[in-house]
Amino acid sequence: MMKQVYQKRAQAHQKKMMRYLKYVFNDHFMLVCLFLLGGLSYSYSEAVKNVSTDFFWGKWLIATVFLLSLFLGKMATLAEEADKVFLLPKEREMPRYLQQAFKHSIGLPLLICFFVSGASMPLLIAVSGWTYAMFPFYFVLLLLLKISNLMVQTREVFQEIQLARQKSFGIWLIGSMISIFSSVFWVPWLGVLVALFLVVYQYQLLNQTFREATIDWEKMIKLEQARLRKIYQFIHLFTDVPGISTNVKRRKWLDFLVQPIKKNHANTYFYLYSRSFLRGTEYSGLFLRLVMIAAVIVLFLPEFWVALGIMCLFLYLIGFQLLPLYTQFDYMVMTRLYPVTLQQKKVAVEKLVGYLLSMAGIVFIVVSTIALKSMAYFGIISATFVIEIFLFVKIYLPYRLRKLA
Amino acid sequence: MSLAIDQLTGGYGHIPVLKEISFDVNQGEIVGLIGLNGAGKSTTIKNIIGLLTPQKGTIKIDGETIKSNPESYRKKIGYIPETPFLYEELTLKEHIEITAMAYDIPIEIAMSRAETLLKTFRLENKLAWFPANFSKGMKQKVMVLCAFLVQPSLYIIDEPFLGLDPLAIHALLELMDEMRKQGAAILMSTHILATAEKFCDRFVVLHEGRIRAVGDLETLRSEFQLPGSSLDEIYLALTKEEGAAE
Repeated sequence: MMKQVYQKRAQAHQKKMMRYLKYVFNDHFMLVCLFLLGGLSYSYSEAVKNVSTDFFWGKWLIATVFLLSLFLGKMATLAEEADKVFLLPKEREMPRYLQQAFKHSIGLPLLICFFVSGASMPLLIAVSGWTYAMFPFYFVLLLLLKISNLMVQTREVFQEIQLARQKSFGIWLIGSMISIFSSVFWVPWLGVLVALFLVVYQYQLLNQTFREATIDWEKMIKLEQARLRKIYQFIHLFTDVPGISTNVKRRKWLDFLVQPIKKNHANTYFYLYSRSFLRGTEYSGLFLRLVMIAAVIVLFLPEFWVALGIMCLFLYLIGFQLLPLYTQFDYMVMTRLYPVTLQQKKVAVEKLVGYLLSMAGIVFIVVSTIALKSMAYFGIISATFVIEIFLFVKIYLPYRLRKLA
Repeated sequence: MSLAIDQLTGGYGHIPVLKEISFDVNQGEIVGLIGLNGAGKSTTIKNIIGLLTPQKGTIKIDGETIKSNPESYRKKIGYIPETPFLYEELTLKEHIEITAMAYDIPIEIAMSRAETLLKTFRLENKLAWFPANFSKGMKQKVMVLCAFLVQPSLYIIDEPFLGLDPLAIHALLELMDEMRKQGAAILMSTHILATAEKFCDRFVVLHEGRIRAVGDLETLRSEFQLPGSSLDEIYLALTKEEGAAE
């Protein structure tokens, strides 16, 4: 019975994700990914060529990557807010539900383990002198450790004292380190053995929990919501996700940016948008991330024309991702009732996007001047930016907003 | 005459929820909008505030429709919704600011008006709080506060007493009375009939999208042939009538 409940939810969830992924893997994101992947694998293969067994940090690097990869992939309980009322009578049957959730949650980590162990092999072979025949050991090793990690995560949703929880996680972490280090630095099968022992041990604990402990509904729901929020936040970079509640922070130190805004009728929307941009994590986080990515890329690009192209592309991308700001408050009944013209709303978005792009532009100018080690291009970069921002804000943005509204 | 609804037909799809309803709310009176669940109270309110467009008929506030001048029409309305809507990103103080800005009230005047309201609702030391830290009742108080801050000519109050503590209910009723004396028109939908009976000047009884009765308590008593009865009893009679009709 509970098994079916989970399966049904998993199906619905997958269907929803598929629908969103269509938007994520749109044309320009695919292009960026392809370039990134191509560039990375090329530079990786070049780097491996120059590595020999005397490269001391190689094994450390692999061990660290292995360990970090274990933190990817969360237990998908798919718990819902209403469960604490409606599934409460089924509490004794929840282990069946969680077992199903466990099986479901292992899919993605399986791929990750395969990919991580596979991608590490060239470097591992280069620094150790082993052969590709060792690959299955590492793959199985990572998979076993991840399975025991998911078991630890499953126990998280039960009411247990904090201490027991920390102990359980501590044992897993230390066990994983021993397992990874012994197989990377010593012999592969030894790590697999340790990992196997860890799985058996966690399995015992999990079964005991299933028999004896009661579910912490609030926590299970909170963990699931946190997990979904991360996924939705990522998807939100590409398309609208309904019902994504954002984290709000006070950020008092940013108040000086809003202070100059005159609090009069004409600034209603501009004030609202600016405040919410600075307080929320959604758009400000996106803005910061994109500016930082572009800055890092440009910092390592001594080629003027390429750098200029990339900076212009990023200015466009940043502006493009900020467009949904316009519809941000459409859910708010009170905002829709304001005696304020729609024109004012448009002007406010134009103004805010204009300011933000100018700020990004200034950062880009500083970074590129440092990277190119010359002031000679200062004029042409600034002029290009001014033209691009003007065109974006005055022509492209109003055009897009007409489509959005 | 502040609010005038004439032959309003409206709803969500092809089948109208409201069928040719007409009533007025005059300056200086509180009109209670009462009816069973699904009678059309919320739909009526949504049509008045402009979230729904009437399929037929007109709604005028001080002679203006929302089409003729949307900004000045909207400025006349202070709306307190049934469930509170607040900006997660704004503090209480900023809610006051944004309301003042939107309704074109100078910020100093708004703050001085807010001061007394804040004290009345015991929120004066919570100006820096975010909605996330408010209880449902507190959120509702903020909605009340923002509506009264504007001092509009027409108040639309949807089921105001749910979630408010007795002190706040009392304060709200006093505020409504004060605004009535100052000449505002107030339309309030509610199920708390004892309170409605005490405070409303007239009632509009909605039933299945039509107006079943309009008038003060005396008129209703004669309409339902229940002399000397309370609003509660009249309401119950309405329910029975519905049962008999089926």
